[in-house]
Amino acid sequence: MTAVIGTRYARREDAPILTGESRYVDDLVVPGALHLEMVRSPHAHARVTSVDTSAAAAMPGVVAVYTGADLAGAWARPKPFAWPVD
Amino acid sequence: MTVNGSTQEHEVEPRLLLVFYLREVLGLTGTKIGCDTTSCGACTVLLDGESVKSCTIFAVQAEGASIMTIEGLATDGGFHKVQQAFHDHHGLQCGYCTAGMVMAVVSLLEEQPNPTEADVREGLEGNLCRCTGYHNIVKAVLAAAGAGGGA
Repeated sequence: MTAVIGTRYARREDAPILTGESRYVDDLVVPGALHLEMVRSPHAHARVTSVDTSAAAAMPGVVAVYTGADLAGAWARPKPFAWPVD
Repeated sequence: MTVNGSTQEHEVEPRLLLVFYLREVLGLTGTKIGCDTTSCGACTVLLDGESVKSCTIFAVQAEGASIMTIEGLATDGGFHKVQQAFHDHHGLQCGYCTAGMVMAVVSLLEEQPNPTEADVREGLEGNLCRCTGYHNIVKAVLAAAGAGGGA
């Protein structure tokens, strides 16, 4: 193994990247895929008193709208990934 | 328009950007979208031989033009000298800027076949790279220039 360390190696992933063949996530076409949009607070420091999703949910083509409260049960599994919503 | 040598004809909305026409209508996803501000150059393609940011051109503006994307650069299964130089000199890491960078370099070398390092850095100002720090990109461009004529 010591022969590998310090040795120059040509990258194996260059060819498809250089020809435009390699696919990044945005290049993938998944038929029927839904698109997720994150809606964040327009305020840098504020207390959220309520969230009204009814107008968004009524828009044509909207499949679902989730708030933090809707996902409260999912925060801790398998690892906590966000601040829990009270 | 012709794209990479093939004639393409589609009816599109006037507001469709060329980059979306290439990626979504033609399925040529080699050209990337990296910003919303015409800053990054990941979308660079050649339009009638000149490098342009395809995110800032409407597809309809390219009517009748000859477009070349990264997919059209290699010939007969072999790399263009710029592609080869990028590989030889480690001019890419994640590769996301690479398609646009390579197309910009092709155009730059056509305009300036013997650039100095300063010419290269200035000529590629419209193409951003977050991974490499540009050092090896510049080396690759100078090497491709030094390689002389011919693809």
